[in-house]
Amino acid sequence: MSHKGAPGTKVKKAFLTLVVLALLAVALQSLVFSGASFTSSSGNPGNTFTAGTFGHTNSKDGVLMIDAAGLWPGASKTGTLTITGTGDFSGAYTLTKAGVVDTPAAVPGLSNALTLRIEDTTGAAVTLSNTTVAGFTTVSLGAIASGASRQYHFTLTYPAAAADTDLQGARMTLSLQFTGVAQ
Amino acid sequence: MKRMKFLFGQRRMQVLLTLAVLLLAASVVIGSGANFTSQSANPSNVFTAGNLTMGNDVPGAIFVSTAKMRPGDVRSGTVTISNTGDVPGQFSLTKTASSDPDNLGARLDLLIKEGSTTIYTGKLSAMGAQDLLIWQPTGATSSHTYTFTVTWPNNPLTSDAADTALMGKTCTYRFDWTAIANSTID
Repeated sequence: MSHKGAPGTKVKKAFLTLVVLALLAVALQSLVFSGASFTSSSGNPGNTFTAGTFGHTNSKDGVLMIDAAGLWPGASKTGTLTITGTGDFSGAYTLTKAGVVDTPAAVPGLSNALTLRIEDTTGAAVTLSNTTVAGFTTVSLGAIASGASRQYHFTLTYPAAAADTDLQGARMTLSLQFTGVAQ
Repeated sequence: MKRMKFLFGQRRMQVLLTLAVLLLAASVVIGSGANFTSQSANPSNVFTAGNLTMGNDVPGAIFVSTAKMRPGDVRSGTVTISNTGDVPGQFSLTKTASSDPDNLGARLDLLIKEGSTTIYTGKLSAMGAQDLLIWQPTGATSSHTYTFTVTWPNNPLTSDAADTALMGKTCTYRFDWTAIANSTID
């Protein structure tokens, strides 16, 4: 075991340790002083944004509105439904032909012969559209407020003038879609 | 040999201590030896700590309307922040989401303007700290009025599904103003 220079080394180490501690103390002091400042603050809390809800109910949603089985030239079938606005906003509504399928698909199909009249019967009847099913695309229904209801009457007619023996036994499926946009 | 080095180390310390004591004694001797003296003074150098305070004319939410929003809606409000102290301050604005569990703030646009100068434009949830520079305690830069506008963008071609998914959702944001005294030498 060697003790060469041990006492002197200890003194040097102690001295160095003191120097390092002194430097650290000075550095820390400058850090503390450099961080001092006056500050002031204020806040604007509670800026809340809430999205409203919007929707409508359809009294015949997803179900058959007009059962026009066995329709013949000169005859009509009718159906009625009610749209009611729900949520926080009124809405601008449209009725759109979502799809039509003629069976057989021969041209012209049954959709070219049948006419569809759409009326707003909430009050006095107002005709919104009256054209062949093939020619119908979309119609504006106007605004419906939340909680308000409007009644629509549909009349599907096989005009006698459109009688075509080639359409005997033909079938047509019409899908309609109501769309509301919050306003 | 080892012992010699040890003693030398001790002796060096003793020498240093002796010199220090001698220096102290010498200074006392020199001080006590003063004779003719002359002096002047600059008294009453008073240093008073300044005040950095802030005025905010809106105690709570900046936005007045709390009505429920839908795509296309706009909400706005103004707030005036003032340096009401007597020292210049470095002002800044930060935002904190107090509550936004459905990321409604990522859908809403925020525009902050001071007059015609845009301070921030972007999504509400994305706003970072805004440096508002140094405001003097008096004069034109002591008071600033900011207009905050939140818009729910309405693009029916692309946003119907995203907007509909946010129906009934709520977010709350907090805006904080901070001033730090700015050092100047008069």
